[in-house]
Parts: sequence; C-alpha cells; structure tokens
Amino acid sequence: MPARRRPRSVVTVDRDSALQLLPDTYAAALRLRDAGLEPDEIGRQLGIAPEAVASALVLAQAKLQRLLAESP
Amino acid sequence: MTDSVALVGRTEELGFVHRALRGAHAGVVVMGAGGVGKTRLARELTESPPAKRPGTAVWVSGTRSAGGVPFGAFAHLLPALDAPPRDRLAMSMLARHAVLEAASDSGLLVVDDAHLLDDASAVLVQQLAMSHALRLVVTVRSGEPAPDAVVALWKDGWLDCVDLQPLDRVALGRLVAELVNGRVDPLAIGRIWEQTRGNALFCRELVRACVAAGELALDGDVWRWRGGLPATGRIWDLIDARLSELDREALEALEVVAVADCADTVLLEGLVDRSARLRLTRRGLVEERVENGRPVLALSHPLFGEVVRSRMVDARRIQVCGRLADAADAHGMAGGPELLRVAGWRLECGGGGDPELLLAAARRALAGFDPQLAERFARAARAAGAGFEAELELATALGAQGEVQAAGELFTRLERDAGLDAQRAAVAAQWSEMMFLNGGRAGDAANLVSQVASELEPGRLRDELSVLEAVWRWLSGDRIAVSEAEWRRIAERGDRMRLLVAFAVAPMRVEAGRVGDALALLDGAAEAAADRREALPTVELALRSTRAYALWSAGRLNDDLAYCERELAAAAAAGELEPIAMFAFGRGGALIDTGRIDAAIGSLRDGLAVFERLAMPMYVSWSLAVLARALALGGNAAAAREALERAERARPAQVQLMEPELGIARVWVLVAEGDMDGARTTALELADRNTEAGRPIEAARALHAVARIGRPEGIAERLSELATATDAPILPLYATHARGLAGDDASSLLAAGEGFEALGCLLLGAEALTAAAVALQAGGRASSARAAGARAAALLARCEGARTPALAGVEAAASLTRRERDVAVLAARGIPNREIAQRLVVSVRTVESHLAQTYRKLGVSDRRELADLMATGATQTPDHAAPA
Repeated sequence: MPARRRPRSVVTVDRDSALQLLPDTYAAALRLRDAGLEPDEIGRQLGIAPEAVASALVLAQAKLQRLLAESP
Repeated sequence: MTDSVALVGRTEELGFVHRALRGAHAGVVVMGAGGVGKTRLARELTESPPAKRPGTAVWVSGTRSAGGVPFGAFAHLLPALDAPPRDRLAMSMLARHAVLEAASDSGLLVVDDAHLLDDASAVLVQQLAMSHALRLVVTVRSGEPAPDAVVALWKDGWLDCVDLQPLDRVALGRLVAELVNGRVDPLAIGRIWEQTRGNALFCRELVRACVAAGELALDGDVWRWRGGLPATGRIWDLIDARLSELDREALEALEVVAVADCADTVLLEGLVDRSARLRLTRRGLVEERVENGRPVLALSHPLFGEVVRSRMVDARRIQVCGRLADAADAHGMAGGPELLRVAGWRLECGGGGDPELLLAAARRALAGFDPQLAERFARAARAAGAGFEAELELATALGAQGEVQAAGELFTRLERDAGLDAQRAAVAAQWSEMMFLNGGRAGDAANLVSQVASELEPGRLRDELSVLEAVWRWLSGDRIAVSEAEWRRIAERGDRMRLLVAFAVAPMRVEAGRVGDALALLDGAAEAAADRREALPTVELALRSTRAYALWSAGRLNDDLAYCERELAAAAAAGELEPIAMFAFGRGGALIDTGRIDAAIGSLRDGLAVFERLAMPMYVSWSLAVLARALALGGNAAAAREALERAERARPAQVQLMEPELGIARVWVLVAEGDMDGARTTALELADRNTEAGRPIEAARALHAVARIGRPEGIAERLSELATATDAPILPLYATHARGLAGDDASSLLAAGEGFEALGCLLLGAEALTAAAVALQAGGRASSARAAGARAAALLARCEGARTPALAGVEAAASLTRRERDVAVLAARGIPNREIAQRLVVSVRTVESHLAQTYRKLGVSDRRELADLMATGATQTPDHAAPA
C-alpha cells in the first residue's frame, strides 16, 4: 500500500515558513527545543554559551511571534 | 546610500536588555560574532537609556593596543596625576571612584569589546558588577579568548547574558531598504539574505559595494540587483582579513568546503583534514548543519565562499572539483539529490563526463526553473555525445531564457532530424510550449502540434499532442469542442495523461465558472504532479498557478492570498524565477481586492520585472493590465493610463486569456480619470463580450463594476442570472450588493458586506457597508447607521490607499484633522477636557470645539459612542497598530 502523506495543518506550514525567516541559530534553537533537548545540549550543538541559551530561546520565540503576526 | 542608519530589527533584543537592566542582575553581557551589531546595540542603549535618568552612559572599550596596559581601558576617565599610585589596589580604587563619579547621573557603564580588556580593567569591571554600584552593558566577541574576570561575569551569573544573532530576514529587508532609501525588489533581498545570512555589517558593506558598482540599481522606483557581485569594496577587505589568519592546511580545507558548497558531510570525510576542520569550526568559518534532512558541511558565510573560490587558481579549482566528483561516484551519490552539484564538478574539472549524467542534470535544472544552468549542462551533454536529446533540452533552455530566435532555429533543425515518433512528438510539444509562453503565439503553437499529431498513429503520443492543441487553441480564444467523454478517455491512460488533462481542463472550468470542478481536478492531480515535476515542470507550475487563478476567480481572497504567499516564499527560497513571477503576480491580484493597493502594486511590479526578463508576453500584458487596475484604484490616473497603454502594446495578438483583465482595467482607468459614463459603457460592452464568450465570472465582474460606480439599475437581475451558471461564492454577493445599491436596501448591503469580508474582499466589504450606513441613515436608523459606518471605516482602515467612488463618503467622514484625531484619541480614553487641554497645550475651548467637529464628522453624540467607535477601529486594524 502506498504510504499516505500526512496532511499538514495550515498553522504548521505558517510556523515553518516563519522559521525560515529567522537567523539559522534561532530557528535551530526552537527546533531542538521542540525536539525535547535540554538547554545545555542546545547550547553545545549551536555553539553558544549555556548561560545564553535561555535568552536565545526567549528572543527566538519573540521574533517568531512577530514574524507570524506580520505575515498576512 | 545612507550612511547612518537607525537600529533595525533589534526590538526584541532591546526589550531583553532593558528588562535585564531593571532585573536582579547588575546588567547584561552581549556576546556575538564580529559585525553582528553588538556595539550598535550598546550605543542605542546609551542614546535612549532604559532608566529615565539624565546624563550619558560611561563608555570604555577594550582594544588590542591598550590590552597590555593595566587599567588602559579606563585611562580616559582617570585624573591626570603627577604621580599615579604604583600600588595596584590604590590604582583600582582610584579608577573605581572615577567611574562611579563619571556615571553618577546615568548609572550606566558600557564596556565594549571586553574580551580585549587588560586583566586589571577586567577585574575592575567584575568588581563593579559584584558591587551593584551601577548597571553594566558588556559586549564580548564570541569564540575569542577573554580574561577570566570577564568570563566570570556570565559564568558566575553576575550579569545576564545574551548571544546576539544576525538579523531575521524581514529585518534585513528593512535594513537594505533603509540603506538605499527606497523600495527593494524582494528577489534582491532574498539574494542579500543568502549572501549575508543577516549579518548587518556584511549586509551594509555588500549593499554599499553593489550600489557603487551599479549592480544594485534603480529600476523605476524599485532597486533591483542585476545579479553580479562586485569584485571590489571594503567587504572583500573585511573577509580577506579574516582569511589571512588561517594556516595553509586550514585554508586548503576551506577551499574544499567552499567548492563543495553545502555538500553532504559524508562526501567530505576523506577530503577535509579533521583537525583543520575543527580549527575552521572554532573560528566560526565552517559549520555543520542539517539541510533537507541530511548533514552538510557549509561555510558559515556564503560570501566567504565567493572570496575563497575567486582566490583559487584554476588548476587548484579543477583539482578540487575532480576529487569531489570522484568521491561522489565512489559513494554512489551522482544520481540522487546531489545530481546538479556532481554534474557541475564534472563539468568544471573538464572530465568530459557521462552524457547521461549531464543530460539528467540539464533536465533537473529546467525543472528547477534555472534555464541558464540547464543550458550549460545541455551544451556539455551535447559535446559529450548526447546528440538529439541534448539539443532538445538546449532549445528548451534557450527558449525559457527568452532567446526565442536561437531556440527557434534549433527546434527547426530538430524537427527535420527527428526520426522516431517520440522525438517528433517531443519536439512539437516543447517547441509549441515556447511559442506560446515566450512568443505569445498560441495559434501557431496549436497548428504545429495539430500538424504533427495528424501524422502520428493513434496512441499516447497523439493524445498528448491533442491535449496540447486543445490548450493552445483555448488560449488563443478558439472554443474547441472536446467532449467530456474524450477527456475522460485520455485521462484514463495513466498518471501522466491525467496530469495533462487537469492542466488543460482546470483553467477552462474556471473560465466557465465551474470553480469547484476545477479545484477538484487540481486536488486530484496535485500529488502526481509533484512527483512528476522533473518530467513536466511547466505543467506542474501551470497546475499550481491555476489553483491561484481558481481561488481568485471564486473571490476566495483569503485562501488565494495565503496560497500565493506560501508558493512565493517557497519559490523565493529556491531561487526559481518563473514561479516567483507567477506567484508575485497572483499575490498582487489578490491584494488589490483585499484593498491593499500599495502592496499589490509592489508585488505586481516584481512579477512584471521577471516576466519581462524571461520574455513572456502574455504574462507581461496581463500583469500590466492588473497593475493598471491597481494604480487606478489607488487614484493614480496618469500612471494607470500609462500601464494600460503598455499592456495594450505588449498584448500578443494570438492570445485571448488576458482580454477580460484588459477590459476591466480600461473600466477602472476611466473611473480614475473621472469619466463615469465612459466607464459604464465600456463595462457593459465588456460584460456582453464575456457573456458571449462563456466567461460568466468575468461578465459578472464587469457588471458589478457598473453597479459600484453608481449605475446599479438593472444590474442585480443580470448578476443573479449569471450566478446560477457558476459555483463561485462571490457571484451571489455581487448580485446582493447590486440589489442593495439599486433599492437602497440596507439589509442586502449589510449581507453583501459581511459576505465580502468573510471571503477577504475587504475593499468591496467597505463599499457595501458604507452604502448600508447611508441607507440606514436615510431610513432614520441612526444608531444602526453608525454601527455600519464604523465597520466600514474599520475595513477601510485595513485597506491601504484604495479610492473608489463608493468610498468617497466614508473617507470624508473619517477624515479628521490631525488635531481632531489627537483630541478624539484622548477623549475616547475618558480623559477630561481640561486634562486634554493641558496635554496638548491648548485651551479647553479649543478642545471642546475640536470634539464638537469630531462628533459631527463621525456621527456620534458622546464620549462613550466615540470610545466604542475608536475601539472597533483599533481592534480591527492590526496593520496600523503602533510598532511595539
């Protein structure tokens, strides 16, 4: 049986395209957090200080929110 | 070029730093790569300090030259002493005192480039942070060694800490626009984004260099990038400086990564020395990331790739390409997603190469709408002996670049040389496609495929050509009679034929008003089309653009706009010109009727520029016609007339598809010029022509225009009749709107307004509700009239710059003077007149008089009603909300 394509909700698509507008590190930080990684591990993978991970996530989220709000 | 530019795209960071400076920590460390904008952010803080305290922040900087001198960074604050204390503790106390003294007003110390501080200064900064005697903002370049006392600032938690990242794409666009002080083509923004990945310094220097070299230049009122990167400018010096720090081994590794250009990490395992790779990663030049689900090794900065590649001598580049291509072969990667890259390396290293590989690469490039690249591969494939097939792809690639004559000569030869039926059919198909798309010769295209089809045996090839013939005939305005049964028979020949039938029939259904049928056909074909993109790229794109056409024709603007935006973003990310143009055009059309005229004009011009570059006459004429309508609705009659004339001139004689749009553009241009009678006559004639040609939706648009410009009598009946012939949800709304206008029937107008708004047609919604307000007022229902008026005003506020006759009323009502608006805003918040007078520094009587005027204009009688009205406006106008 052919594999069925999973329909993606509109919200996911919008979030995905907004993620592409973010700087790479922010987009990756959000994806890694969504994948359940701990802050230290996120910092290690992205090459940022563990102390700066929390603020990076806050800023990434805020920017994503703004991009989503700005897109029509 | 503007030299000093306001801080762009750092709203969130500024907010974060402001909060940090008010929080439990003594301040914040701002880390980040060179050029990312740390110092600029710090300067912004000192210019608009977070705490409302007088005085300027104290600024000290670490420098390489002062790095060896104890307290060197603080030297400018220290008193000139004849005998400075020799004891370090005494010196430290003196410096500390000097800092606190200097910062006594602002309470803020900025330490820029703290990684370069001498140890004594670093310890002093740490002590200041620990003492909470003032607030600190400390910038540090990430990845650089820094004094322990500086590292302790964030490691030990004395200061909050933020790693400053490059700008997001939207902010980068804003920065570029500000640098050139004008509107910039989104394609150019996309390329600058690719090249700089949001690094503000690189962006600034790149834009500067491109403007100086004329690569980034004004085209009308939009800045466009001609495509080249200038070879000179400070940007290259900046990058050279970074590269000159590398040892030989690291530089060689960097060359491989640069040529490989985001290739799969597996490929590079044996080619890049591990320790050199580590050194490059540590220096932030190379990074491993995941792209499309596979790990790739990439330059952190695409611009570095340009520099590295341009500095490589030919022999070295050829050597690297050869090694990469061999490695790809060894890993069996040549045919997969790396096809284009591998074929490119083979081409570069002059290995002649496998004709099949090159031919496959040419096809892949055509499917990626990169005809230039396809041309290179097709030429190489021909040289390698791929013969007929290579020439066919070459002709197609030339045609797709608008080189119609060269392509035509090649097609002529191919037609002569074609021996097999399959070859003759393929030549006819691709040639006819070029004739239509790049020549606007739909009639000739139809004759060509018809001729060849008649010489073929009945079967798949002949069916394919007959489908194409039907499409070209339909585009040229001939109404062909292919029965439903015949279409069904052809579609049953398998997926490929089903796609072709959907490609042919869906737009015909849209034109005939059967939008639901068209969308069902497109849905049924979408998955198979995506899988066959390489075999039928033009068909696949046509199916996608037909979906936009269907949604737009149905009036489903919210859906249409969302679809076009999504496709446009995907096309822009992939750099695919033709799809970019197609969806910029679609987006522009949708934006007009949502009332966002300025945005529509911009989007249409973006699409037009690409259509012109690719020499696609039907789309040039069509987008100019839509542009003329947009300009007319924006009140710019002269520009609208000019665009219309250009549309007429560009119009290919053998294509009819854009005729209804040209017709409706003529109507609105006349309206903008104030010739209402002319507009009405033109629209009525257009409606008749469209009805006769079997285009009910287009006929309805023309009739609806007549009603909108103030001649609604007898229109509703004709619209109702047309509405029965189609399933487009907008048609019954047109009819209801026209009925309401003809009979001053408020409930019809309200219903139409709500319906338009729900579909996203905000401009029409605003018109209908305005008319409803007038009808209600005339019927003595003042409060309902106010409510309708307020909703109309709210919709209109979301429209940008639309001016239609039906909106004249609401505009006048909403046109408060600036002072009246100021007073209204404050009054709506319940602030008493006396306080308003104090705030605006005017007399109470002036406030009262402004309020009276405002009440009269807005049709409200007290503060509560004013507040209600303003609240509706405010919640309904997110686009106009003040920036945070």
